[in-house]
Amino acid sequence: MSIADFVRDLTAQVVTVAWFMFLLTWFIGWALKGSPIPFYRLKRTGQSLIEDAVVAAFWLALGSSIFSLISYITSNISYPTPPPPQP
Amino acid sequence: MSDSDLLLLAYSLAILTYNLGTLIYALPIPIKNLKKWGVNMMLDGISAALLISSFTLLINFANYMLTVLDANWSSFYSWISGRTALILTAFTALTYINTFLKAPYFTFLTSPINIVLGYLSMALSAIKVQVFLGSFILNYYKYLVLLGVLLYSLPFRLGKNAGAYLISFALVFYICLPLMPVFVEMFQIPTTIAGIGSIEISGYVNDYLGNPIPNAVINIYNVNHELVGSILSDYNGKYVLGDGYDLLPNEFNYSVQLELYGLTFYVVPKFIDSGMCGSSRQCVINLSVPGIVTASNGKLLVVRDSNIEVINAEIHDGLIAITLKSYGDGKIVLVYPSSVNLRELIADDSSRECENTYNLQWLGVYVNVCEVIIGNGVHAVEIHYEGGYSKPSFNERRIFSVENLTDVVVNLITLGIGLLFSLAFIPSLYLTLLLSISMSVARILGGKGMVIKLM
Repeated sequence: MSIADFVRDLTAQVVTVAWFMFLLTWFIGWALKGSPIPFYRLKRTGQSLIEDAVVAAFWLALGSSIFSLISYITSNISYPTPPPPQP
Repeated sequence: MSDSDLLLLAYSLAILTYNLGTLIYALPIPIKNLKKWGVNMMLDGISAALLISSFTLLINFANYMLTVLDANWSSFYSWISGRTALILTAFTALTYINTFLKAPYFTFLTSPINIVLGYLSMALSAIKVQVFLGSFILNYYKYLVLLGVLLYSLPFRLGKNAGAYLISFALVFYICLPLMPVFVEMFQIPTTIAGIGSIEISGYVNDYLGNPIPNAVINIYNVNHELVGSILSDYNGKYVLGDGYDLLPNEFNYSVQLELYGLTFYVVPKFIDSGMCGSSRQCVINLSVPGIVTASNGKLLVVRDSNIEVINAEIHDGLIAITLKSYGDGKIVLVYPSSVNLRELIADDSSRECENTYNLQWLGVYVNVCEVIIGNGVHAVEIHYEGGYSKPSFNERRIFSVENLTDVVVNLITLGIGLLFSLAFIPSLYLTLLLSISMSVARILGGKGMVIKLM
């Protein structure tokens, strides 16, 4: 197994863990928000955890699209440069 | 590992960084700094991916900049080799000067020359460093950029600074190092070796018949008739003026006289001056002494006075046969060292005795002098002799122009400092400039630059 494969496997595992982490955070967030403890700060924490989880899930889902967009743009830029202007 | 493998690895690392960022962002730990870290890592991943995707763009950009700036590596290398040749020439010249400064009173000159030689070897090492750096950058700048990209895309900003610095270093040096000649030439100091060993006059000291006169003392006088040098002709009658034995001034005009067995003779040409060699460094000037006829390498000397003309002369071993024409009462003088025995003197087939004899001592040689008066008309004179030769013990006094010496020393030191300056100091300054430019570019790429701020 080459080091690139290793990194790719690691990435796949990280992505899986991240998805589970999103679910966990989501549940914890709702649990905190819906808990019968009348502390405003606790509710706020739960709210922000939910928001973060949603944003993280959004970027996680968009990750491959972002990278392919980057390679698309740069591969379009990296055409041979025009010859320099002659003085 | 090929370029594309490395790029692939870097790309995977960038994706990993991004995903780790989202993972950290999604962690159910409500700490603001942690979330910030997650965002930062996502951004790092994206910027690393941008950098990786624009790798070929970067390389093309560097080559484009090279053409725009009209710099190319082959001219850089030819410039370097020109510099090396210059140093080696100076090195050879100075070593040569060092070896030909044979006279003991020049030894103090070898010290500044050695200092300059030290400078030159330092400059040579500086050139070596430049060549090494140049070939390293030229051959490996792509790999440096690749390695930089790889380091840049490591997660948790492990190698972001180092990667950014490597990328900018490789690109800046690849583009700007070939421009070093332009920078250095701006501060160029003229480097020429002047003064010493500029002229060499050599030749033979010849008698009336054109035979060389060995062990004759050539006295050299300046325009004020002060003796500036006494040179001994060697066993073959050859003399050398300059060529490391003498420190001749740039402009000189000397009158020359010959001294042999305690007698002084005039010499043709009477003057030796700096214009005689023309533009060339070396020239041959034979000194002719018309007043004497020598036999067997100076064992016996026949001096004629101005009333006597030599019509014919034959020189054999142990015998000189001369046909003379005398206008009025003429006198010939036979001069010989005491080691020579004058066996017989025959004039017009009859044996003659010396009219007047005396002895003198010249440079440790006992000299016998025999004067013979001959009458008007043509005479055939035969001189039979035997015996060996006595060498005078004489310490040469070489020409030593102090006014010129300071010039030489100053020239040498200027040359050494000039070479060191233009080959070591200015390139180092340029390299330092490039390093600080690299740091600034690294900061643009996202690194923090170096802690030590040079500019």
